[in-house]
Amino acid sequence: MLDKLKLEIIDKVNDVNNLEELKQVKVETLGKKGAITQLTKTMKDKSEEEKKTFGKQLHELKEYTNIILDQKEKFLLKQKIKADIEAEKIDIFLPGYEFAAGLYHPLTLVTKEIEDFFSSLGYSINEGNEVEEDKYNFEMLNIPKDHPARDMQDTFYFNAEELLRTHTSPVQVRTMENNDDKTTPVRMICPGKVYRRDEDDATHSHQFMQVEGLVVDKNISLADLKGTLELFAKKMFGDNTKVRFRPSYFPFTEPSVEVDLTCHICKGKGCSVCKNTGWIEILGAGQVHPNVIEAAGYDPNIYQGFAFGLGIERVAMLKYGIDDIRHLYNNNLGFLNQFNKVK
Amino acid sequence: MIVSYKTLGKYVDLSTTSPYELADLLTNAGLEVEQVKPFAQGSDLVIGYVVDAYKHPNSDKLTVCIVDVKDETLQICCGAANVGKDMYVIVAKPGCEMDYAKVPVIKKVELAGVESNGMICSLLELGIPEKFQTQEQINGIEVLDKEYPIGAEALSTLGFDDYILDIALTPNRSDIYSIYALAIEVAALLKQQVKEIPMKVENAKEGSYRIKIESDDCQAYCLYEFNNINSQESTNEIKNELMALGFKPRFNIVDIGNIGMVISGNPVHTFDADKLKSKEFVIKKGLEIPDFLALDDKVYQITKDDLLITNGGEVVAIAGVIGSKSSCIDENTKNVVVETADFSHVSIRNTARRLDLFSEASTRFSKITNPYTLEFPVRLFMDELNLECQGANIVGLKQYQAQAIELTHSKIEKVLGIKIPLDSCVEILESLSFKVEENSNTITVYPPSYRKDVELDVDVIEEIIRVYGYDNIEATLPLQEIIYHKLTPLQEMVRESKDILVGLGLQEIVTYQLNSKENLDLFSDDDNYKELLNPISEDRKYFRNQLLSNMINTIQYNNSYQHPNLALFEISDVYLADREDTHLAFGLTGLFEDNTWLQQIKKADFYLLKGIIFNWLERLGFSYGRVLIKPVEDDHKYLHPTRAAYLTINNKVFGVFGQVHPALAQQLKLKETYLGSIDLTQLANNVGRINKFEGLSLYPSVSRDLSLVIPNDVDASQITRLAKTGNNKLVKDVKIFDVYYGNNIEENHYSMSISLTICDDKKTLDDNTINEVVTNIINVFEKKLKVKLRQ
Ligand SMILES: [Zn+2]
Repeated sequence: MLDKLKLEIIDKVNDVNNLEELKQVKVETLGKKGAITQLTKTMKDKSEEEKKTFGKQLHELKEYTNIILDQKEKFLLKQKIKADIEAEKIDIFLPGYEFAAGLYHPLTLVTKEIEDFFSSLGYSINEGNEVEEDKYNFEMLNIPKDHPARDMQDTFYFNAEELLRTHTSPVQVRTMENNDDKTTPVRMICPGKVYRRDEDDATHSHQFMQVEGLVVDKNISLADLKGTLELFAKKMFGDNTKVRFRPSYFPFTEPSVEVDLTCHICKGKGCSVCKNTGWIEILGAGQVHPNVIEAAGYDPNIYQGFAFGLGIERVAMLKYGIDDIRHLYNNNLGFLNQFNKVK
Repeated sequence: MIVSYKTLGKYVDLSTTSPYELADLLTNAGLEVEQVKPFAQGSDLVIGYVVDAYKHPNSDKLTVCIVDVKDETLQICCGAANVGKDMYVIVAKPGCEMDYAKVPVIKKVELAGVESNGMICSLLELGIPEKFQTQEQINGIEVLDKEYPIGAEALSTLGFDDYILDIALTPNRSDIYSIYALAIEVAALLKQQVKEIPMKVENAKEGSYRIKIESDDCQAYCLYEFNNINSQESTNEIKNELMALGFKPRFNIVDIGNIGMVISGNPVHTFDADKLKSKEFVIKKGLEIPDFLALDDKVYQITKDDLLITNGGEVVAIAGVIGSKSSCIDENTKNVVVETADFSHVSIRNTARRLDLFSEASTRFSKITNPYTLEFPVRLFMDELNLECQGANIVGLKQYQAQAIELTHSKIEKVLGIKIPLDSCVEILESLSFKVEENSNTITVYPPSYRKDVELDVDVIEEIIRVYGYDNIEATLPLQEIIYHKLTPLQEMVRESKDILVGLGLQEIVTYQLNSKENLDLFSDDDNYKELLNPISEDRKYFRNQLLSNMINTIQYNNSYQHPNLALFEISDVYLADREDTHLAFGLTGLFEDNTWLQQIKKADFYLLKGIIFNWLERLGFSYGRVLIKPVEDDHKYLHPTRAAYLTINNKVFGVFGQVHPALAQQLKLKETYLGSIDLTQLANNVGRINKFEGLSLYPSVSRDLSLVIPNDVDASQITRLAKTGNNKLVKDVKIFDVYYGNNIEENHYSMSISLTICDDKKTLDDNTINEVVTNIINVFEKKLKVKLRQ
């Protein structure tokens, strides 16, 4: 009798197609009025002997029924999810939410990268004034009134004493001068806007940006400058970048050097960007002239150091392949929205 | 500075150094060669002889020439009018490459039915500049002046096989304006000896002139007399040399004077002795002459600061700049007086600049001349023209006394960071013509007379490392005590603001600090902008006092490039009366977010800008409540009076934002545009607050919505403030979720829906308490603002 019931239950479960039907089968078998439950009620009429065997069989059937119902339910649930997935299909190629896009100006990107590099080496980030005194822009930098070097940089003047700084170098003197204790070592950079009385064209801009660097202590040498700039070059232009010094002249450094980096485009083989030399001129540098150290109140017999001045536009133009400096100041959105990150 | 490779080769052996190698050598030693180019160009040019020439049968303009080039006879059709029989000419055979000819490679062609096997060349086709040539040379082919070996390579035969190096001299190396000084430099770099040549005028007897120097700007003045000169054209060799050096050949006296100047670096001026009125020369300042006729046939105005050479009361030269027409030499000159002098560079430079007359001579006088070798060009002049000096008058000529420079070996190492053997240092300095005395721990160095730039021990160290080679410096890193540097509050604020604003979707711009008065006036209360004395143009004459003028310029520029949707900011210093402050400017116009299949359009408007500003402020630690807004004046200059607001902190205004005034928008043809201008320097004087953790509330909050009918003269800030003040401490937040102005509202009223968040930190709220709070708010609204609940 139980075997027959078992087969019936198996058939019923097999015929089930959905969870609703399965629930019905459960009611019909294990529910209050279900077949198995009904049989349990007949137990009280059986003998002790029968109770034992029948009860055991009935229990087994109940267990078995539970298992196959459970299995079927799991199977049906899986099927339902499968069906739901198909029904809930969306077009993943439709665009997502758009957020207003804002970007840093490329000059900010380069300045930040330079600042972060030197900050990590323990440099302070200093600032000077764009409206500067002749004294700081020239005289204290070893460029007296009639010095021929004043012809090198045409200057915007407000009056005889005030001008638009032609370089960030005045900050060298101001930084040292501001140290009350003239034995305090200096380790600083100063990014900022500078001005030359040039007509704007593809390579000249009357306003541009420089970063000045200055390290002064008792034993800071030209070799230290080379090491510092080698690290800097690797950070800005890649690990294989090499640095070359060429003799040059700046009134406020002695010795003075022009610093070239291996061309990051051709890796030094020669290309149109580096005019087939494999090298790109990137900045001017040197050992701070003793007259400048002295003008700033330090003792040039004890203190020495290096200084460098780097054109930010030049770095930006090299890094991003910008062919005309005016792009940087026109702020055409079509230009600006091409600079999504530092690289 | 133009240098002829051949001229340089006269003083230092360049037989194993090509012009290009020389250029590299100089560049690496700090004398940057910007360009090397052949004096004349053309491969395989030969000397030809025109055996026969006759008119082209089919063309009036062409001549058919039969040209002997030794190995063959070429038939060439020539278009030049000056070609003819029995001439020696320069011939480009087929295959010849010529950069300056009309065709880069010469080919065998047919011209009007007649075969032409090459080209007879003009100097222009060889690349020799027009300025050195006569009109006849420019119009025609080059007719050689005499017999040359037929078939010989033309450029070397004619002495055109020179190279021109253009050196960009740094101000400290003006001595290189002397090719002889350059030769010394090259010899040192090549480890050779420079050719010694005499530099002094020896055994000259006292001349016939008297010299009076009445100005400190003349330190030395010397005159040398030469008589019975055969004035004539210079030799071809001299002419070629002059052209390679950038001078137009004239006649021997002028030409040799020029060559002497280039080699010695010291200019000479030559007077025609027979045109001088007097035997007395006075060098002085102080005259004013409106119409000085100079030897270039132009009239110049002399002012009292110009240093002058006068003779017999007449100005015969503006010292170092230009001579007078009346005393100048010409092709008929027989007797000359050659002047060499030491003038003040500053004085000459000022005069040359004022007259805009930077000749080869005044350029040299303006930069540097060597007062100790004043006779050098005169001696070159004598030797080249084979003259004897008839008499010399010399005032102020000095003997050079070198200044000793003491240098310790340890200093060299300290400055450079590498050890260089002392022997090498001495060797390098001596090769550069420095005298060196070796002591136990030091060397004493005496620079040569023309190296005025070498004054200090570091100058000498530069000379050593320049020749020793910077490539030999091994890189090290500075060893220093670590000092902690932190950014100033303003620096931090600038950095953080850029990060926040870019994150909020604004584009950063960087614009010029100089602008026009007209543009600045639009957004300024006064017009005390910092004004340049020497601007390039009116457009860039003033240092800006605010950023909005450039913001508007940038918006207009982008609108003209089809970028109508802009959300921009700029952070920059501006100049205010006596200080530089850092400002932040906003500029919004068009769409901030465009319509997509998901999203509604978000237009630039007052509330967008307000949202950006307060979001930015909040993240800097300035919450709403601490920063307040207030309306602008009814007559605000550039902002819409009812759609703009000031930003205040501690009752001080630090910024303003809003819509551009309709009148200004109309004037500038702007679409709806919003601007903001914020003084970051002032804001950074306040400390942004960092919130402390207040713990999590253990009890649930509830929210209650109220729909209000509000009189038009009550604003949103009054509602939110009132809801939170008084005994309503349990009200944590008031959110406005709807505002409605419409017909079915009572007249002069509008409707607003607010959502109150109510919470007690100490216990769970019961309905009674909540209702009490809400009722209380409703009552206060009604009593204080005449605000009613909407039915
Ligand atoms: Zn390259």
